[in-house]
Amino acid sequence: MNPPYTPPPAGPAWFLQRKNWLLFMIRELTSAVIALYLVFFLVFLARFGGGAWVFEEFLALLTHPLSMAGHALAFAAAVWHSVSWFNTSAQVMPIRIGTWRMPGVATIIITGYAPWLIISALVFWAALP
Amino acid sequence: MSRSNEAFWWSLFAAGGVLGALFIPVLVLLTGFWLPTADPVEAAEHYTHLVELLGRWPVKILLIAVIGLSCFMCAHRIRHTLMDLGLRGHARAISLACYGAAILGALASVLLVARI
Amino acid sequence: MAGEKRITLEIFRYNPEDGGEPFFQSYEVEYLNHWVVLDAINWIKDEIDGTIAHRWTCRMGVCGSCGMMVNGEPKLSCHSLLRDYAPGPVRVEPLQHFPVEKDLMIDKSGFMERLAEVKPYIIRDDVNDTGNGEYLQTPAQIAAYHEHSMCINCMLCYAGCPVMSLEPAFLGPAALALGQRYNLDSRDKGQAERVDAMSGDEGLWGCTFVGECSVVCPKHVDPAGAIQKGKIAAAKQWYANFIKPKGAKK
Ligand code: FES
Repeated sequence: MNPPYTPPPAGPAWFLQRKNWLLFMIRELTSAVIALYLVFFLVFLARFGGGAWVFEEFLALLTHPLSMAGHALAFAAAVWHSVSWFNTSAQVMPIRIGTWRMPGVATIIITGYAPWLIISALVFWAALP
Repeated sequence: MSRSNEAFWWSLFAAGGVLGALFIPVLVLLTGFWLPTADPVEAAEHYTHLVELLGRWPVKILLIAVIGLSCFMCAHRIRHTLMDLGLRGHARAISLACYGAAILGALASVLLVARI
Repeated sequence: MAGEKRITLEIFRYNPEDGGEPFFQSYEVEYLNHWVVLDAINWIKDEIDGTIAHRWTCRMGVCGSCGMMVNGEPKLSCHSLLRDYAPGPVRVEPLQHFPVEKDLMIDKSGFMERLAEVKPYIIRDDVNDTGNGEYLQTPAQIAAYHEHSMCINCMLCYAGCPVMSLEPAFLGPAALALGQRYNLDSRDKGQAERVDAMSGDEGLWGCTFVGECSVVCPKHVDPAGAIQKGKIAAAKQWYANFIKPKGAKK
């Protein structure tokens, strides 16, 4: 008698097998784009620290379509990260009062989307003269 | 990685994940679109305003936390993704490279923000 | 038999006794509107081909023994209406990430060992001391773990979890959720005894929160949520040990 049949191991493209695995992989890969943006942001801070003249020169560079395209990609990745992060909050940190459990959608809005919106508005308000 | 180390790195990942989710989209809009498209007069105003804003310690600390911890969020995810893509044999080297880069990034954010 | 509509099932076949490779065998079935995939397989086994091996017991989503891949999705075959797969064909395979004993029957011994590893029972020193009555719980204390206690051990979550193939030693969703279920139980004092099994690289930290286990779970156990709660608890414990390392590190 032969041993039990063992299916062949998944190759490096395993995440293409199921839709939610693919969405997971996209979520993880947003971190690579965000990492590139963080490197850019450090450069941004360095230029900013270099004085008004250096900074304005740097800002002029950023009007280049390549910079715009890069930032558009970074924005998409960052938003994907935010949305996928907040959407799990009801699973990870459910809000409970006694036996009552807040519905998932409400938890996600209260702990995720609402603070996100308020903080984004505050940062804009604080950063712009 | 022993289990206690993983708990530590994961806690940095989780903190960075939260801060990154809350702050990075708006930072991208600011650095990528809002500031560069200002006209020269506005740009000069922006600069003086931002210098004043980033001169405050609470703002400095918040910015360092956002950038530094986001570095660890990215490092943690990139590390796991590389291993999931078939590089489990190099787990140690990948951990060193990812978290090493994150530590450098976090240190850089401290230095760069502090000197403003 | 008085079927209303026809559909083809493509069933995964593997026989360890003939030494052959697995293959798919097609069977055409006339089915009634209320038939589920399991009804069709049982009909095929009774009427066409008695050599098919598959597991089932309750036909009502309670025993957890009829899990299969139906068109690539981990499903309880007793809860999958055939009419939802019309016009077919329906591809039926054994659960992914398990060795196959024969046809649709997987080897679940690895799963059973994993369940035992997390010590899924209430641990406390005075467990034999029932003289003072039961260990009471408030409804709120029950609510803290209740959803994680609904597991029927159907193993669909193992089929949905990609870590099971990437890291074959991974404890997996159901076992970790079960361990966490006891950790969250106010009557239990056994967290420290579960730490070794649960908090290793093959335990909680093996999970990358794909979340598919909670999507495919037919009982809303939410193993992914249980595991993330476990990670938070383990991280808090790590900091507590770091501040006060009294007997903490083994
Ligand atoms: S036969 Fe019992 S769960 Fe399907």
